[in-house]
Amino acid sequence: MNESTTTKQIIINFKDPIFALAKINKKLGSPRFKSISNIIIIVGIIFFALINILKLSDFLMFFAINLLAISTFLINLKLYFDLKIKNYVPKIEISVLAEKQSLGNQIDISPVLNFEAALLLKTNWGNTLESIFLKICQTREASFILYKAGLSTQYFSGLKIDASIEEILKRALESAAKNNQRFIYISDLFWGFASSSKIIQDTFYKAELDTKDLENLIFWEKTLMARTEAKSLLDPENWTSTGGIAKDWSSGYTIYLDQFGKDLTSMVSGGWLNFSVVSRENLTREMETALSKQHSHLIMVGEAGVGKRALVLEFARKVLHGKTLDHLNFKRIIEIDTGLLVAGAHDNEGEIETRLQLILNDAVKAGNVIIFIDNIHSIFIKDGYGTANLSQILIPYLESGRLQLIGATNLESWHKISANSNISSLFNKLEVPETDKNQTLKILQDLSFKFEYKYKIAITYQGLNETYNLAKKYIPYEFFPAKAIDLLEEAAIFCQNKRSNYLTPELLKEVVSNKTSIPVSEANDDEKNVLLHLEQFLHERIVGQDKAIKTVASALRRARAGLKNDNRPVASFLFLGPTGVGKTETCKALAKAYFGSERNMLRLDMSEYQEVSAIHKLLGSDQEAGGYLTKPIREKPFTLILLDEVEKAHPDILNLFLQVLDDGRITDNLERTIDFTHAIIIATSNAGSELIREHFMSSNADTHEFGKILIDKLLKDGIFKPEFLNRFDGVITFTPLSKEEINAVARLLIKGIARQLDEKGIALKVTDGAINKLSELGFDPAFGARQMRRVVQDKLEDFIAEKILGESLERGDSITFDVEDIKG
Amino acid sequence: MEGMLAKSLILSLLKWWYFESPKQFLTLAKMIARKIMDSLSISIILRTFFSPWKKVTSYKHNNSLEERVRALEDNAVSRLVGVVMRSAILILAALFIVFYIVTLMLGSIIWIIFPTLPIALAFYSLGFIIS
Repeated sequence: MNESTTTKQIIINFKDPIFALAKINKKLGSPRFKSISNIIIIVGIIFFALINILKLSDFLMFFAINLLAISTFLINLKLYFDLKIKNYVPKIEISVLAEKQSLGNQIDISPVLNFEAALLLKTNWGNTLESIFLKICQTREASFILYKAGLSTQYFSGLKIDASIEEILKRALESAAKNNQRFIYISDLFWGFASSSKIIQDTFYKAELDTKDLENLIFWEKTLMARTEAKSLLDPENWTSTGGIAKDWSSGYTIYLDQFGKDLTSMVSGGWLNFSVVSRENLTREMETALSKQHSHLIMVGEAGVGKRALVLEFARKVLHGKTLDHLNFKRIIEIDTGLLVAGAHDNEGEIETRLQLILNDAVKAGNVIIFIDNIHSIFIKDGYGTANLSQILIPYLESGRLQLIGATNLESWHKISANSNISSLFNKLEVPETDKNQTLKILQDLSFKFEYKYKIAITYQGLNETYNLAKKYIPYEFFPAKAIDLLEEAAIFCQNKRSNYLTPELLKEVVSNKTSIPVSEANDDEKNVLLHLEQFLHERIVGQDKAIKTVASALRRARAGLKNDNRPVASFLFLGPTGVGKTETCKALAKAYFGSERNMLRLDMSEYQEVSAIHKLLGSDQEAGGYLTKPIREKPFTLILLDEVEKAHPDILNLFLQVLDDGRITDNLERTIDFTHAIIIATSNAGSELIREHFMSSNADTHEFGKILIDKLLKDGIFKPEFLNRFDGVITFTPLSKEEINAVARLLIKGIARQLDEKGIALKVTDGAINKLSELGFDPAFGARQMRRVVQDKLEDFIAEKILGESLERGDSITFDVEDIKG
Repeated sequence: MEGMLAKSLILSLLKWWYFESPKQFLTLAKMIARKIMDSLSISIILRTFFSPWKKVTSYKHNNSLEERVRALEDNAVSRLVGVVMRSAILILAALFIVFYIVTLMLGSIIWIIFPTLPIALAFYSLGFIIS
C-alpha cells in the first residue's frame, strides 16, 4: 500500500514506521504468542538447569542450550515489546498537528495513529467508507460504545455515508487534540464518522442520542480504556510520593484524634475509595488557596449531596501524594466523627467539651494534622449538641493559628453562622456548587460499572441520561450528583427485583413515580381514561360550573400530554364567583386528580397578608428558613396552591406572584430559588360577586362578553391590576347555583353521608320529597352550597346521630329519612 | 512479507536495545532512586534529624531548678532516640543505594551482552555435538 493522499490537507503515509510497529505489536501482543513464549522460556530455563545438575548426555546438553538460546531470544522480544512497543510515544504532538491543519497546511497523521487504528486503516484502505465504518463498529472500542447506546452494528449496515474521508480524519484529529491525547484512537475515528455523517447522526438520534451524547459515550469508552490499560513505568505520573516511613516521626502522638476521628489520608492511600474520573481540579485548587497560609481555615458551603466530602477526599489524595503546597504536603487530614464525640457522653456534664479539647490538643501537638468537621454548624449553632458549648472551645484554637481546620456546612446553616462575625471571619469560604450535567453523567458512567456488577444488570447511556433528566425535573430540592446516584442505585435495585436485564428509561420513570407519587411515565390506560373524562370525574364532586370545569380540564390534559411551558407553573387560574359555588371544592378535586391526593394542596388565606410586612411570612425571615409559601413548595413541589380571597392581599404581595406566574420561580429569604413549575396555582376571589349574581339572575348566560364586562369592572374598581390578571392561564367565572343545582348538591351531600353509613353497615334511604324539602330550605343565592351543607347537617345528620345513639343500630339495619323527619 | 517483518523486527529491536533503551533506563533508574529516597523519607529525616522523637517533650514553667534540669534531660533523651532511629534509616538508605548502584552496574553489563546470548549459546552448544 503506497502513500495515500486524501486531499491536499490530510495524508496517511503507509510507509511510516508506525505501521510496521503496529504489526509487530499485533504479533508480539497476541495472547497466543505470549502464552507460548512464556512456556518456552520457563521450560528452557528449567530444562537447562536440570540437565546441568544431572549431567546427562551431550546431546541433551546441546538441546538444552539451544532451548535456552531460544528462551533468551524470547526474553529479548518480551523486553522489547514491554519497554519499547507498549511505551511507544509519537515524536510529534497531536496539538501541533491540529494547529498546522487548522492553518491550512498539509499534515501526515500516520505518526499519531495508535496501533489498532493504524492497522485498521492500512487493512481497509481502498474499501468504501461504509465498509471501513462497519469494520470500526466491530472493534472492541466501538462495540462498547454501541452496546452502551443500546444499538448494534446491523443498525448501520446498508447506510450510505454522506461524508468525505478528509472530514472524517479531520474530526478524528480534532477530537484527539481536544482531549490532549498522544494518539488518534479507534474511538476518535468513530467520532470522525459519526460527527461528519448526518445519516449516522440520524441513526443515533432515533435512539435518542445527539452529538453531545455521542461525545459522552466516547469519553466513557476512553475512561474505561484508561482504567484497564496497564500503567507505564516510564511515566512519572505513575510514580507517587507518600512521604515515606518517617514522615510522622517528627509529629506528636494523636491518641484522642485516632479514637474520635477517621484518618482520611490513610483511607485514600488504602485504595478503599473509588474515585470518579471526574476531578474537580478547580475546586481543589481553591481549597489550596484558602489554606495557603499556615493559620488559615476553610469552610465549604454547599447543599447536602453536592460532594463536599468527596472533594475533601480528593484533596486528601493530593496531600497524601505531595501534590499540593509545601506546608500542606504529607499531612494527615482527620475527620472528627461527631457521632463518636457525643456517644456515651450525655450522662457526664462537660464530657463532650473535654473530648473536643483533648482532640484539639492532639492536633496542635502533632503539628501535621488538618482537621475536617462535616456539618460544622452543629458546633457553632446553639442546640447543635444540646447544651454543649463547643464553639467556645474551638474558637480559641482557630484564632491561635496552631492548627488548620476544614469545615463543611449547608447554605441555611452558613447563613446563621455568618450572622456571628467572630466565627465567620475565621474562615475562608468556598462555595461548592452541584455538578453540571456533563460532570454528573461522567460520575454516573463511572459508577454504572459498580452497579452493573453488583445488581447484574446492564445500564445504557440513555438510562443514565434519563436518570439525570428525571432527577432534575422531579427531585428539585436535592442536589447533584447525590440525587442522581441515589436514583440510579434505586432503579438498579428495582430492575434487579423485577428480574429485568436492562435498566430502561421506562423502569426509571416507574421508580420516580413510586418515589414522588407523581405520574411520570406516559399515562397508562387507566390514567388516560381519567384525563380524557376529567370533566366527568370532577362532576362527581362539583355540581354545575360546566364551563369552568371544561377550561380547567383542558389545561390539565395539555400539561399531561407534555405540551406545557417548562418555565411556568403547570396551570394557573383565577376563580371568580360568589361564596359557596364550588371554587375550593374544584381545587380539592383537581389536587386529587392531578397530584394523587387532596393533601397535595397548599391553602393560603390571603386575608392574612394585608400588610406588606407579611411578605416575610411567605418567603421566610431571618429567624426562619423559608416561609409559608416557599418552605412547603420546596419540600413538595408537586402541589396545588390555593390563594384564597386573593383580592384581600396587599398589592406588593400580589406583585410577588407576578414572578411566580410568569417565571415559575422566586427567591426565598436565603436566596434559594424556589421552583413552582410543577405546581398548579389557583387564586379565588369573591370580587365582582354582586355583578355575577345580578347577571345570572337575569340572563343565565355565561358569555364571553360577560367575562369581559366582569374583568373591566374589576380593573376599573382597582381590585386587580391588568398585569396580574394577564398572568393567569384563565380567569374563570363560577356562576351562582340554581335551585336545580342546589338539589343536586343536596343529593351529593346525602350520597357522602350514605357512604359513611355504609361503612358501618347501615343503609340510608332519603326520599325524593325529603331531598326537595331540604333543597328548598338550603337554597340561598348569597351563600350557595354552604347553606345547603348547613341544612343537611342540621336536619339530616342530627337525625341520623339521634337514631344511631338512641336505637343502638347494628350492621344490616337501615335508616329512612322522609319529609316528616325534617324538624323546624 | 513475514520475512521482511522479521527482519525489520530484529533491526528495530537491536536499534532500540543499544541506542534508545539506555535513555529509558536512565529515566527509570532516576525514578526508582527517587522512590527509594521518598519511601525512606530521606529529605524529611535530614530536615528533622535532631527533632525530638514523636515530639515528646516536657517543659516545666516556674518550677525548681531540679525539675527544669529533669525536663532538659527528658528532652535530650527524646532527641537522642530520634537521632538513633533516623540514623538507622540513613544507614539502611546507604546500604540500599550501594546495593542499587551495584545492581545497576551489573544490570548494565548483562543488558549489553544479553542480545548476543542466543547466538553465543547456539555456538557453544555446537561444542557438545562436535565433541
